[in-house]
Amino acid sequence: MVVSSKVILSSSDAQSFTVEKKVAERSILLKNMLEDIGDSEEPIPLPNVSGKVLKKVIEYCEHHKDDDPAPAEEEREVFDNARSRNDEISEWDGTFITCENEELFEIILAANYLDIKPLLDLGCKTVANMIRGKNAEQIRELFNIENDFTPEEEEQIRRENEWAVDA
Amino acid sequence: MRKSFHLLQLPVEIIMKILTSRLKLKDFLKFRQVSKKIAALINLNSKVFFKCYLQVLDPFNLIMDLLDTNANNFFEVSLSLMKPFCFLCLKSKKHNPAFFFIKEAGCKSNVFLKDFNKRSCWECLQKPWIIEIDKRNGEKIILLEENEKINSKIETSDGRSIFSNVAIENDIYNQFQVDDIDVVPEVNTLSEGAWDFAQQEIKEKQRVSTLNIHWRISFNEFIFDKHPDIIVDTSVPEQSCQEFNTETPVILNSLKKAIELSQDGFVIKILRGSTFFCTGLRAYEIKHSVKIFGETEEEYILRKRFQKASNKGSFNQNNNTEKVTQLTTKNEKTLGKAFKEGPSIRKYKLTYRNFNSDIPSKFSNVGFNKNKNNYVIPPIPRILVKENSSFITLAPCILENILIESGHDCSVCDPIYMRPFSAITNEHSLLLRSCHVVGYQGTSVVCRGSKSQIIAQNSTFESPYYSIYLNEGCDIVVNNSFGNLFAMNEDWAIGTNLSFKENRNLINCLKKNGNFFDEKRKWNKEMED
Repeated sequence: MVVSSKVILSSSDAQSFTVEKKVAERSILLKNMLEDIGDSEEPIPLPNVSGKVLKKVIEYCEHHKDDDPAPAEEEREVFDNARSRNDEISEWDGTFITCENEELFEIILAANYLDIKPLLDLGCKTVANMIRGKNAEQIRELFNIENDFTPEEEEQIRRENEWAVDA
Repeated sequence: MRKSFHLLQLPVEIIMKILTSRLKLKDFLKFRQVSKKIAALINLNSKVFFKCYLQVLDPFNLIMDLLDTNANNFFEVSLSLMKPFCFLCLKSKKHNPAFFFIKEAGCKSNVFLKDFNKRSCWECLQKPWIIEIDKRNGEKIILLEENEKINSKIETSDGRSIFSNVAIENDIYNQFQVDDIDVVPEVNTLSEGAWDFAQQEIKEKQRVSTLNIHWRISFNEFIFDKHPDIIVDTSVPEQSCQEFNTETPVILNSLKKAIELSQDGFVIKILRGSTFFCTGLRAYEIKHSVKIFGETEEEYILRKRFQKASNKGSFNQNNNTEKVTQLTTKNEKTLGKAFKEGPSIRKYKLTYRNFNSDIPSKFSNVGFNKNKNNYVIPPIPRILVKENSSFITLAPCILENILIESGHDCSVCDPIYMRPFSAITNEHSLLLRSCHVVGYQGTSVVCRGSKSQIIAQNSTFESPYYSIYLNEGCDIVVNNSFGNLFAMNEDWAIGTNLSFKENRNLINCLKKNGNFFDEKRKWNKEMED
């Protein structure tokens, strides 16, 4: 529903969030939808995003609503690559993304679904940072991943990687 | 939306995005060790990852194009391409700073030199080395450095800059005047109009229209056959690659074309140079299961020479003392399609004496003009390597004929060593076949017919070195640490990618020591007749 540049978003658990159109348009998915449907008073259903996560996503978009608009499709790859290579995470973003693993993954999924590249990058960078510098066992503990290698297989793969890992 | 999940339940593309966003290679590899599922996931999707990593090395997707991205072993292949190896000796080594020595370049403004040092292993850096950079505009900068001494900058008489380590002290270098360090276009190193001829030759064969290749013809090839093989000098674009300038695509296309031509029976010589191209060639070989035949110039010369001698019916006149070794079908297979199916001139016989000498000091009978009707390759002696010799680990390189007295591994035969270079060009087997030890001095074993600096590891430019071998009538082998040998006997010069300065030095030395040039002229005349 569009009321004086407001948009109503409906989460998978039927929670509704009214946001500025400008905020919603941080999502490429929503931006395209709004362009397609034109003015409408109907809530936009987002069946893949829970209310809890949608709230976080909206928080992010609110904060970044004045950022440069998303680039045109043909420019996006270059733009995204450049952003991906940028290691910096702003203080606000860092605080925002600090959460439990499960919630973090859900935000990543939502960002992916809603096509909010900066948020997706932020989530991926955060996970990458968690992995960085840790050994295999620490990574398993961090993400609760079962080690299904036999000792022999583990030793083999360790040897394969030795040349780079020992640097 | 799923209510609860962990990392591995994220879509694959997101996991790969995570892995490619900030992780370093070693983190990536550690992550692969976490579980089978992750390993499988990464293996299956490694294209994404490696494309990201190779982007730096492979800005034009040459390597990615060459790789079969659907191959089951793509991950392993990609990974093997990323293993670091020394720019000079091409040995793959652990990425250990102790081996891959990083130091401040003598000339900080020189990208090439800086990068060069980063990729050089410690052993190579310990050697005096000479680098020449052909800037493709007809000029060269010659860099001289010995060990870790800092280069000094020299201005030539015409204002061009040369970075030279003046601390190199020996007779040869002392003879050397700054003005002699001429900056010459490559064409000037070709004698008797060879360059023009070669270019014309190429045009006649209508290659030039399709082959925009940076190639060069050594004067030796001109002397023998006037039929240039294609030589891709990959040492040139190293700098270009670093700077991503406009030359790079040209070189890349040239390389691609050269590789294609190798399938048509042309002998392609890839002068080793940039890590990038070595990597690209490795990728090509892996994908197409071909061996790009890289012929050393010495091998080429021997081939041409014996072909010519054979045509004149002068072969094997003394059956009691000679043994004919003809390339077998197996050998041909080893040498690759180019050799096997190429023009008839690519068939050749290797003939050498069935020597009965066990020590490398008997070289008085060696030489191509000793018996005009009996052109032989110098005998391959069984070399007795001293136990404490630094060469002892390299002795097995002379596999077939050299007594191996050490249990050490052979550096040349090491599969790791072969991977970046020899496995592609198949030069390794040729090297072994054509390597002839002609002597040793101290711990230095001197080989002829070899391209690897390893074999002539400790040879130096010291003038007594030349004298010794001149006096003995043996081949002279000069080695620069860039992996090139300059071999010469009484009547023959075999130049291998030498710098102008090296030529000049050697020639100066020879002028002092013998009548080399008279003999050479005689030889040339005989061959022409």
